Amino acid sequence: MANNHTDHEHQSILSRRRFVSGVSLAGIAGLAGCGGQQAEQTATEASGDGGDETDASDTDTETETEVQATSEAQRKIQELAYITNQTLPVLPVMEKLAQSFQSTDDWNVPGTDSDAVQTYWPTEWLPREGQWTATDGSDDDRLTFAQWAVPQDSQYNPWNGQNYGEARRLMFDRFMKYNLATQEYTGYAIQDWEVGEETVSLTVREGLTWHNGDAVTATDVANQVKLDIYNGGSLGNFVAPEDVGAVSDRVTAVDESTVEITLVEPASETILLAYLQPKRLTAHDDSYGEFVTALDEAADEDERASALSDLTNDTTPEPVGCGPFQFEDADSQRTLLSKYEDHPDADNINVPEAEYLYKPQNQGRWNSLINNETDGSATLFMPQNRLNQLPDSMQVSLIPRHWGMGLMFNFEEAPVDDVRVRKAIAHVVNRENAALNSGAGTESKLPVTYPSGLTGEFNDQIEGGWLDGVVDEFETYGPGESQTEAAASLLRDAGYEKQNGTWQKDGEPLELPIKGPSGFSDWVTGVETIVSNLTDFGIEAESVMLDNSTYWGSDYSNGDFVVGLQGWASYDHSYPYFHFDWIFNSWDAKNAWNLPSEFESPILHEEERDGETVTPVDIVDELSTANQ
Amino acid sequence: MSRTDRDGDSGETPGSEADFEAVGDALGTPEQFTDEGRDPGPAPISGHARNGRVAADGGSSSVSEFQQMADVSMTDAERRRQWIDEKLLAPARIVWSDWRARTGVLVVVSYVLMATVGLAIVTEPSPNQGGYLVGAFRTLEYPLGTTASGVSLLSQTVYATPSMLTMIASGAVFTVCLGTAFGTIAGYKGGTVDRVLMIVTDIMMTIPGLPLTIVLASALQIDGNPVIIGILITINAWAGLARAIRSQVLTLRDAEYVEASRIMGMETSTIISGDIIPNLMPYITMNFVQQARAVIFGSVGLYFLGVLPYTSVNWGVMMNAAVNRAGATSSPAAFHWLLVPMVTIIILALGLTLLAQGADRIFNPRVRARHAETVASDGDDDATTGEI
Repeated sequence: MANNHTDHEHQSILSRRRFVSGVSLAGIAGLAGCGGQQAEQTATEASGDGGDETDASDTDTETETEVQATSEAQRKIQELAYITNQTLPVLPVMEKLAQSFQSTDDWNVPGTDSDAVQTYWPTEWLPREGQWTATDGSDDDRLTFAQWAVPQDSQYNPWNGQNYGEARRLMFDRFMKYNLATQEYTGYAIQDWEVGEETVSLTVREGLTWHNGDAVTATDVANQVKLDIYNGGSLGNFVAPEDVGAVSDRVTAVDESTVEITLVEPASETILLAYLQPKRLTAHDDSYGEFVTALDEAADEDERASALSDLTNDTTPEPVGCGPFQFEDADSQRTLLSKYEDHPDADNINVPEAEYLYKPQNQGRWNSLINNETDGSATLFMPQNRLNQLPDSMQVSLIPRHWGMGLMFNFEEAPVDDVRVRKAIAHVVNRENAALNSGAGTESKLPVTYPSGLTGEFNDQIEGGWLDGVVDEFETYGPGESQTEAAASLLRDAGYEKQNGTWQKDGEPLELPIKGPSGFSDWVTGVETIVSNLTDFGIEAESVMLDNSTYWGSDYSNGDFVVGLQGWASYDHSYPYFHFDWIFNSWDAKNAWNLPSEFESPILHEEERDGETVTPVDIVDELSTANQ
Repeated sequence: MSRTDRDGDSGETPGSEADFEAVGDALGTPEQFTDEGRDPGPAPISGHARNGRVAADGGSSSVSEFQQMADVSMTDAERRRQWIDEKLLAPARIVWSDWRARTGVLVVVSYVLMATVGLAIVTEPSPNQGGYLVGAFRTLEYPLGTTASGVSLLSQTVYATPSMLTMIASGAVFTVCLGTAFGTIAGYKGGTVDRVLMIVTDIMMTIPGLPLTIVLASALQIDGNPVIIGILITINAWAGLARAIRSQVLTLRDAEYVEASRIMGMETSTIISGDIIPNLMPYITMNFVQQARAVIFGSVGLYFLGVLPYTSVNWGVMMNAAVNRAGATSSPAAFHWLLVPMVTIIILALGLTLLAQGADRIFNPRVRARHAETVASDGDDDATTGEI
């Protein structure tokens, strides 16, 4: 994987994130309502590169058996985890479980402990699979959900990113389905695929048609893949890292139903599928063919950039989809969809309509669920005192997000450029309390046991899986306590002395401003706890909470912080490659956190390292192609 | 309540009922001079009468005003006492005699105490102090209840007070200083200065304040500094005050005494500060208090909306947290979280409003004179001092 391309990709992530921040600025009211979880959701969507890749993705989450079988990959993962654990480029604090809601009043839905619920997202997959149906005699003939954006301003061009309407979830089909519980991929819009040495071939689902009656063809799928790559999608790193101009030759429709993607080098199937699976088939040749042609035929960078900006500025308010519901109309309060009878899965659905109500604030969504106005919600944070108000008929399931709040250190700012100070912070912070407070009485936030960049606190995936056999080498930094003695000796080692209850060096107190977005209210609560731990210990910590758009658009992205808040993992991905790619190789790491390329770290696996000095990015690159 | 009762002067002030013959006695009551161990002079003259006038309408004096000399000169101690009496005690008595002002002062003083002494009494807010969402008035330990992360609301409220008061004071001082400076200079100088200053003022007035505040708050690196936020919130509120003061100054600048000062060649700054501003003080003070209230509402509103940066708790952030983290508006379990900061704000705003009403009376010279023990009252004050 070449780095120059990665830059581009993450720039696009950043621009989208900025962009989303801008959107929230557009309405102060919107900002006001930005509950943490809403904002978090926004950020999640924002980081989707290539339109939709990381949003609600899925990944391979290989557990014990497979990991052990692939020792090379596991060794690299362990080494990266160890480097992260020993140098703390970021401090993972908590991992999040999403609360997902389904009404059992008038609806048949699987129970909360059912595997069927373990998908991103139940509201999207359960109706398609016939698992979310109206009960006999139900008078509710409409599935009702909520959306953030104003319905009539929503549009469905995923590459535009602005006001991408929530109704996309029922109007477009994803390439594949990924079950979090069984960790299996199942075909959907792509019914079959094959990953070879240097090729990937995708077969389109038979009988799938666009809402205007056209059959879904391989061209549509190729369009989708190409546009994502042109827009900076991660798959580009495997298909055409050096020359985007070559994409049109490397992604081709070989016949009516087969797309072949040529890779520049063999890549891990796990990673390829993780990038392919979440794609939502949108690139209907009638609607997007012209953009594809323009991008394919662009002679140079400038032409490509202008063609790309045509694409990203295009809006599609009334899309032609390929999902089980088709667009009817949208006004200021709701988007109405009607069932598309020709969809292969139409028989699984026994309601004629679905609607998305405009609920721009968390409070409104909470009330709608409590009043049974909406029939469910894909993901929404709801504090315990509101959960208590839910009717018995509303069930709440917890779905892992493989993501959570962490402290990002700016490596160009004292005192956190010193690894001893970072470790002292890790020792002092009581992650259990931070997670508990952040979860507001719910169990939706889990403290990170081993700060190592690995996710999976909700099951045994870290200790018994990724770190199997080496877990004793890892430092926990005391997840449920303030290990003040360990921290004190680290600080003394770094030249600090405690005077009058405050740690000082050369008469200057150890100050630690932590910046964060004030709209992410759950993060703010977590940071209050962290600041209180640090202050008790004698570090002059304070939380500086800025308006969301100011924080993301300016302070954070310009690296204007000492400690900043950000998700420490890659959204919704469980395979560690994605997290390490984020921690060491992302645009954010290089530009916002100013991470150096080399770290000094003890060695875990001699085979992976030449010495104490290590360049983690190289190991991340190797991991992307590591033999599984 | 009769006017006399309300003013509270009857019987309190020696000499209030005195006629002019009694003026000297009244002023020269022995207690006033016992400290110095001096005998009262035959016709002591108060500080107000230093330049020879016995009383404001001393027409009935047997000596011409131009001929009369002070029979007794005052010592420094006397002057000090008199200054204290006139400047501090008299206003205090006026304030105390009026229930609105009295309430206002009590409220403001108690908030100041909360911001100073309170910090020593109440424990610092920290997460997990108590249980989650303990209701108000349920336990003695957390009298106002706790938040969803177990922070005592009493602690939060008290620890938010210093920065709130700083913010309020800075915003109010900024507005009043700038407004007064622009208004008086423009009004007094007139001509080009006036035009230039008023153009600036008008431009400031036409900029919508709220969006400007929001934009500046995100553009500037203020990191939640309360002084700067106070100024930001009132960033263009001074313009209205400047306009109003200018009009007032226009009516004053041609007053005889101002003209006299001008003829005597006094400096503009001396004339403005000595002759003009004192006349506007009631108006300025009213505005100071009004601005203070506006800063509270503005800051709390913007914090509630989440557009201002903050480093520590404050009442607006508390309300924002209550609504965003716990849906307090429709959750009985969390309603106290919203109510506590709200009531805190309402009481302070009410106190400031009452104080503003009372402040009006402090600057009324007649009312003040009646409350100053060292000043003889006018013989006809019953007739002239009406409702204020």
